[in-house]
Amino acid sequence: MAKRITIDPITRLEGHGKIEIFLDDKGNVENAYLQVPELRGFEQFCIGRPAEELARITPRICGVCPTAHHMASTKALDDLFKVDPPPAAKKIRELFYNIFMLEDHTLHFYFLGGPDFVVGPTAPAAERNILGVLAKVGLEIGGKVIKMRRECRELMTMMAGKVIHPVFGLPGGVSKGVKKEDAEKIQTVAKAGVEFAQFSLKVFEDIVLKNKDYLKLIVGDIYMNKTYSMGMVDNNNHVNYYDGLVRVVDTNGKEFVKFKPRDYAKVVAEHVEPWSYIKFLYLKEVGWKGFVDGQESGVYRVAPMARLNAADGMSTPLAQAEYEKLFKTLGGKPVQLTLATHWARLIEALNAAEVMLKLSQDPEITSDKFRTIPTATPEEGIGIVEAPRGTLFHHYKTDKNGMITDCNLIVATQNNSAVMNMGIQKAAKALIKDGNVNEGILNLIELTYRAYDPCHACGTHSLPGNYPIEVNIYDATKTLVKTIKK
Amino acid sequence: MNKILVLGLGNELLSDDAVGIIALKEIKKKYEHAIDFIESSESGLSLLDYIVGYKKVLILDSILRENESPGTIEEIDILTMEEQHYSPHSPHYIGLPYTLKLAQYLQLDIPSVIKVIALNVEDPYTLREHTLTPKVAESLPFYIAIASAVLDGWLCPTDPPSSNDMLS
Repeated sequence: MAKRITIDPITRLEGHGKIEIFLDDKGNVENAYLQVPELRGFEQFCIGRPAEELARITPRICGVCPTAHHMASTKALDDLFKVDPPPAAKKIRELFYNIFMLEDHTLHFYFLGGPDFVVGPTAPAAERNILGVLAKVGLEIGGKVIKMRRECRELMTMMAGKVIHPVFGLPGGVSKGVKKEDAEKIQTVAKAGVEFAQFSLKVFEDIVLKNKDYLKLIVGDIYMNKTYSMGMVDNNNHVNYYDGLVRVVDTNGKEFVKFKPRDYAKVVAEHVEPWSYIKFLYLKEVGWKGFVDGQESGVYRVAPMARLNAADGMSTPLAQAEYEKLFKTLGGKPVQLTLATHWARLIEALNAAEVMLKLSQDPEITSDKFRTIPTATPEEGIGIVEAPRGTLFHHYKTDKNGMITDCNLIVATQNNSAVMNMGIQKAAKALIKDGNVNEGILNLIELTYRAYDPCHACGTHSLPGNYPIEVNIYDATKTLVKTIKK
Repeated sequence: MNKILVLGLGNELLSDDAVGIIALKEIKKKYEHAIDFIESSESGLSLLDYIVGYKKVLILDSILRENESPGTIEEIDILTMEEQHYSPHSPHYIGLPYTLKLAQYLQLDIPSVIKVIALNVEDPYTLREHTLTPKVAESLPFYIAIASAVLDGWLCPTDPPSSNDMLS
């Protein structure tokens, strides 16, 4: 009897994801889909508005990574108004952005992705959370995590006005400079950030890598997909979150293309499926061949592991040492193991803290030349940054008065939508046999997409009474035969 | 820093989801001298940064329940909620009740009272700036009155009727 399983987070804000698994007559997985309603027509909402407002409007797409949208938008406005910010402004923006990366990556490891490993992937849901993590790593670490996040958020507020919806990015620079005493505060937090990121990497090594079962899970075939990898790099082909060229490497780790933001539409294209709101990005030159792995498939992925694959190294010494260790441990480049993304994320957190320290000590960071006033007539602008979850594109067109006539936003989750579907299908097929499904198995399937930290602000605002995950099993007549809530 | 905080949650661009923010702006006019006000579209852990250090916090938010009519109002005391009523873990974020449990675990200075007044909404999804659906718009004045009664009670404990009296 054919069955249908739905994993549907019941949420009400900022999109959600739903996994649907279809079983065949023998109870094995025939197909599986991840459906994601993501942008809700935000692009249309932007049309007709003054372009300079978009740096304040687009961060409201959701409450998860507004800083990334603010920065991508600000860079698109530079391009739109044909203005090059002064060096100090670029450094201030990059400093601000690395504070955000440190904060966001730290949150993910300890609160979102980490519990699966630190507590255990099949541990009861009631234990698989931050309290479970603290029980393993020590209560005082919880205080450190909270403190690190709070200090990063205070710095972001100091620099950008609002931590949730920054207002300091302007075409041609920033609205506010960095005072000497502000730079000193940032240095203090950055030093603590470096230490904390190193500690977190030690936690990962001791609890995850030294656990044979966890390591087996990470390097196993269930969570492996051979795809192209995308990420932004600097002049040395080192990982850069704020600026540079976008580089794509193939399934063998060889450079496939390196392009300027202006050329993104020549490189990537969008595929549409009737069963999902989200578009599926692929490499135009390779083509869309369906949800399949391999060199001949145009599917690519973004996010920390893909960024490390796409780069030749990290821009800072401590992160570079960890980068080398990761690839040495996991068999060289490229690493196509989805769960290794958690490790890569911690390496990036260390890198972000080191960049924070370096930029906050740069004498130019306190310069008062942080804005170039744009004078050109706007036409078209494209801005790209690396959001914590991967490459983020903002593309605007305006009329001669600077009113938006066309807007295209490609978020990290869209870039990863094809590979997330492939991963879920692969895990579901490997783990669900003869119709046997339980909470532990469903969590093992969810691990696939949780590694990417997709931007579904699930279950957050919904206060009481709602369960984040519901699994409905239907028989061939579409009659509900079983419901699992957790 | 005052002892009482009003936290308005929601996204101003998403129709009914803005109701907590709209109510906050109205209430702020009367109480700004004695109470702190913060608007946010954040959730869970991020809210912890705002509420630590306050004695009492009133959260104004929208809620969407399958079996409730739009416009009805709920009052929830988060600190006394039973654990089975909130999710221990969501795929992306953790919720506020769970965040508070973490804060208690870490012995942070969290408020002794955290009350949520939530307005059941109809459409918190559609991009309609500053436009509430009719039933929600109709309930907004009463929603504001209930929130104000709670604040009056906190500022002058023996004076006005409780919000429970108004709800009954």
